[in-house]
Amino acid sequence: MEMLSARGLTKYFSETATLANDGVSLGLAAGEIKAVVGENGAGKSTFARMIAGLLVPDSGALWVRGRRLRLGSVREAEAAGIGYVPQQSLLADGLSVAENLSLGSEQRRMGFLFDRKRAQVEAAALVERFGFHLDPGARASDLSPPERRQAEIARALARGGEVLVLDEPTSILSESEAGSLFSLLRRLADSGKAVLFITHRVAEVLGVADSIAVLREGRVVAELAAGAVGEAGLSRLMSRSGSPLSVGGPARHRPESGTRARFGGEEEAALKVSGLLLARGSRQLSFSVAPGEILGIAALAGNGLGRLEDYLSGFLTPTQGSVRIGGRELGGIPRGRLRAEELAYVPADREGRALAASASLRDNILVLRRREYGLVDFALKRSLSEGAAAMASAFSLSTDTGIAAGSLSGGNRQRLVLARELDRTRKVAILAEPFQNLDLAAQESAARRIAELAEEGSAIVLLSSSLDELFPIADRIAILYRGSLVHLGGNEGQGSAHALLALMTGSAPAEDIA
Amino acid sequence: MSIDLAASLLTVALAAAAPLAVAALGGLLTEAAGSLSVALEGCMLLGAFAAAAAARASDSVTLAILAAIAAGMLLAALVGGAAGALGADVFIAGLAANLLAPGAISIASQALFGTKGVVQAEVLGSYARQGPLSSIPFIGALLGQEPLFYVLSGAAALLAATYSKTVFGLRLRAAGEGREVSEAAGIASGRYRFAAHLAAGGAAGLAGAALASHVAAFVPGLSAGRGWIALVAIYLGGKRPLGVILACLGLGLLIAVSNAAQGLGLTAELLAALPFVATALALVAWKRLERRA
Repeated sequence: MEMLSARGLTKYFSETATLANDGVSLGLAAGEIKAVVGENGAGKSTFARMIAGLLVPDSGALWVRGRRLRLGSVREAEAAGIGYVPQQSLLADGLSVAENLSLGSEQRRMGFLFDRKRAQVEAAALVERFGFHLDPGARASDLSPPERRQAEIARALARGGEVLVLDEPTSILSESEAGSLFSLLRRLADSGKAVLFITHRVAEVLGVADSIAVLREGRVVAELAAGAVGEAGLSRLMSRSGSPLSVGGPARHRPESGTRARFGGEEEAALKVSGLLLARGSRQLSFSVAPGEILGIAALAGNGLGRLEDYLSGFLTPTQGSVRIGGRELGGIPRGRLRAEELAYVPADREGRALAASASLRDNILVLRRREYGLVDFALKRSLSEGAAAMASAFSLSTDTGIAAGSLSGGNRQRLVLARELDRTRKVAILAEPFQNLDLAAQESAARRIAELAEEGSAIVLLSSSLDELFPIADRIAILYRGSLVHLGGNEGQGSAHALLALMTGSAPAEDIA
Repeated sequence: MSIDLAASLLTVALAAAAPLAVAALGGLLTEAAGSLSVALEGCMLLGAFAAAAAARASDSVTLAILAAIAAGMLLAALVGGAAGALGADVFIAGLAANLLAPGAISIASQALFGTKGVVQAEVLGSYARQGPLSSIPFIGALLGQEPLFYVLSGAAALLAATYSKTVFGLRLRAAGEGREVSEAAGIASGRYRFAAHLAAGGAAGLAGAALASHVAAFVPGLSAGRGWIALVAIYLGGKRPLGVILACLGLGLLIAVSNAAQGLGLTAELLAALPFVATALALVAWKRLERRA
């Protein structure tokens, strides 16, 4: 029996003049896991938000178990059994897990008192029943990324979730964490729930979903059973042109060694890190990156990658050890010049650090170049706009650069940041999770651009929780575990994945780094 | 003598802390809802005036208190409405309310009582008379407080419980986490935010009535920065009800000490500044500690 049926859902956004969903129709049966895939901006999140009642469709209808829902009401969607897990965590940080689960349909005493005890008990029962690893009394702000995801799913289930709608559930998870999330989803489906999950990661779809729907430019262009299509075929269906992604197939190619200048000597290091301490009790960290070199540093969440990013970007000044760019202490370089000429920085936290959500695309792009144009840029405004538009279109962003950055989808925000940071060769580039939220085509063009910058002499550090993102372009790979460097060596490709993963998870002993 | 002094200090400290705590806990609700009201000062002053005016008109302390609460809510509704429905910056709206209050009062006072100065209201004083048990040292400080003290304590307890024990408080705190967070839970955050402003205004108005009853009159500038100190107490108390109450007790003690020291003939202006100086020092110390942790 059809659990959920969406018919002709249509949504037009007048601010960005985009038809985000153009008559999307999908069905979902009990026990089924359906993946909705598509490129950035294909309308996946819009679709999910309409089902969850967070967005009112312009037209279309939604049935759950044969009953037609009033659209645009979270309460009605929840009452019908739809549980929604958003892309960006919507847990209230200041509240406990149990409080978050009950929010909106609270356990009450005497009508107006919140029955915290009962909320705790019911949360514990739910956690127990679905095999989550969660403490109902823990504050949401203290949860790790996978725990957060679990809490979000638990919340969706607590609202009577018969139909689970998950928007990019793995975007903040490492591979192994994603794996256990998927086995959880499978258990839920086996217990009779219907699961709809949205993703742009083609590889994860094939292993998990029973059926796949492909969205492109707001329309369903294909509905397939799992196994009816391979990774390459799916990517082709997703891509806007409908053609093969690029010459040479989907893999990003590392330039042949030798085509890129190599420098071994310490003196020539563009970025030199010495004696950095990432956490109490961890070993001091030293490494250097030569011009033209790409160093990939991988770690699972909670192992100091974020702290390293803070130090390398100059966001924090280390109390022990130093970070030097071209021989000068990072903290000693005036901030304006640093960012304009010496340091490209793509933070993992894009919303918080990289973008001003209410400012226009143009202003977000040009903020690093204001020194070139001086204070008075009235006369230049036109050429500025054109310059920004050119940069935006190089990353297939909208050429209307007047719209607010906050109105972009998650993937397009990442494109915007990349467009700004990779527009020219700077001495050093610190790129944290640069491929996050990007679809395959955008990942490729970003990777190509990164390799180009290296050719032109940038020293590049890629920080990532995924080895797969590093293998195709890194020259050397380093592994962080609990704040210590446990491996630093040449990139030996996919074949070394197993050994490196063991180091990342701490199941193999740390190597001695000279 | 020294025991007497300590006991009377405690009495004054509690009396000073109670209105502060009520206003601060009201402010805490707005802070939790993500829309801190800086209009507490204005609401306090307006409440004090409304209490004096209503007391003169009706000879009823109860009506005076209700009028004070209503006046505080009215001003807060302007702030909350401007910030919510009209999308104004809540800080600017609050500042405007603080500037508006003394002016509006002086016009009303001129029209009603023919003076821009002191408005006597003898009947208010009756609520601020200490009870018969006040002569017992220390315990008397608590048991022998004026009737108004217990009204304020009750209001403080009510506000604290609203924050941490009710569904309303829970949703308020969720609303403070952002529109998206609460909307995903089907909660209309704007309404809760507005309600928090109303509660804060009413609380500050009540605190203003207490200030007026201490002097049995409305005096221009009566609130004397207490509304701002209440804001400080919110942060000093770590944005938790119990912490806020403790912070207010500490600040009340400072106020009592500076009052007592004035009796010893030290420079009044300097001593009057004591609570503010101590507050500034406490905030600096707090930040230091926080950074170290």
